[in-house]
Amino acid sequence: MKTVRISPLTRVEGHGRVDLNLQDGRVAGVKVSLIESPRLFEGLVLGRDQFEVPALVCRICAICSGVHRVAACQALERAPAVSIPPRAQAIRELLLLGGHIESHCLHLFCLVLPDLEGGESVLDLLRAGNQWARDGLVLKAFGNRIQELAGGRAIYPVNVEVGGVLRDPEPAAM
Amino acid sequence: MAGCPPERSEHLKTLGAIASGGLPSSLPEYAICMECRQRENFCLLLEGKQPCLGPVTRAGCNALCPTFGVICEGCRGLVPEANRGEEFRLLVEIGCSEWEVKARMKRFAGVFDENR
Repeated sequence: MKTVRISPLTRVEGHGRVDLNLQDGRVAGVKVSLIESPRLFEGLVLGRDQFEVPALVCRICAICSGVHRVAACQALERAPAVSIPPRAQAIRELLLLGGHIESHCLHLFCLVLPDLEGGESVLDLLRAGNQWARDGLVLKAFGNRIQELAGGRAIYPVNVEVGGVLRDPEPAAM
Repeated sequence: MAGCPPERSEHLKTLGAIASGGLPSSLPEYAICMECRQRENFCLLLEGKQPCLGPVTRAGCNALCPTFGVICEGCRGLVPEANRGEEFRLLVEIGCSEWEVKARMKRFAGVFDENR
C-alpha cells in the first residue's frame, strides 16, 4: 500500500494535511487531519468574572469570532441551566448564519477558486475581472453585514452576552 | 493601529502610508465620547447607568458599539491623559464592584493603577 501525503493543505483557514492510501492504484482510504496548536485561552480567563468570558474567548479567531462568542455564552448558560428568550435565540442564530456565509465565501472564493480558475490568488482573479471572484466577495460582504446587524460589528460581536443578547437589530436596517 | 478589531479605514490609511514610504498618521487624541456625542447617542454611562468605557478610550471608531446601543469595552486602548480615577468612581457609583471595574479596565488598557 502506498500513501500520498498532501501537507500542508494551503487552501483552508488554518492548518491541515491529507493522507491518501492507495492500493493497486485505487484509493483505499482518505484521512484528513486538521491540526490546531494549543491557544491557551484557559489561562486568560482564570480569575475573571464569568460575564467577561465571552468577550475574551471570542478573540480566538477574527474570522469566526461570532460562533466562539455564542458557544461561550451557551456553555455559561448551561452550567446554571438557564434558558434564553426565543427572540435572543433567533438573533444569535442570525449572527451565526451571517458568519457561515462569510466564512464559506472566504474559503470558496478566496482560497479554492484561484486553483479552479488557474490564478495565483483571488487578487489576481479580481484584476483579471473574474466574475466568480467579484460576486463571491459581494456575498462575503453580505455575510459581514448580517453579522454587523445581529452582533453590532462584524469582528468580535458585542451584542451577545450570557443570558441572551443586548439589543434588537435596527428594524429599518433589517 | 488601535482597536480590536481596528477600523477598516485605519487599515487602509496605514497600508497606504507604508506603501508610499511614509509613516502611519497619528491616532485621535480624544475620547470615544466626543464621537458618541456628535452622533447624538443616548449616554449609556450617565443616562443608562451601564459601565461604558467611552470616557477613557481613544476615539477613531466613530463610537461604533455605543451607536449600536452597547457599552464601549475599551478595545482601542486608553486615550492620552485618560481620567481613570474619575471613570473608576463613576463606575462604582452606578453599582459596579471595584473588582469588576478593575477587570473591565484591565482588559485592553493593561495593568490597572488608579493613580496613573
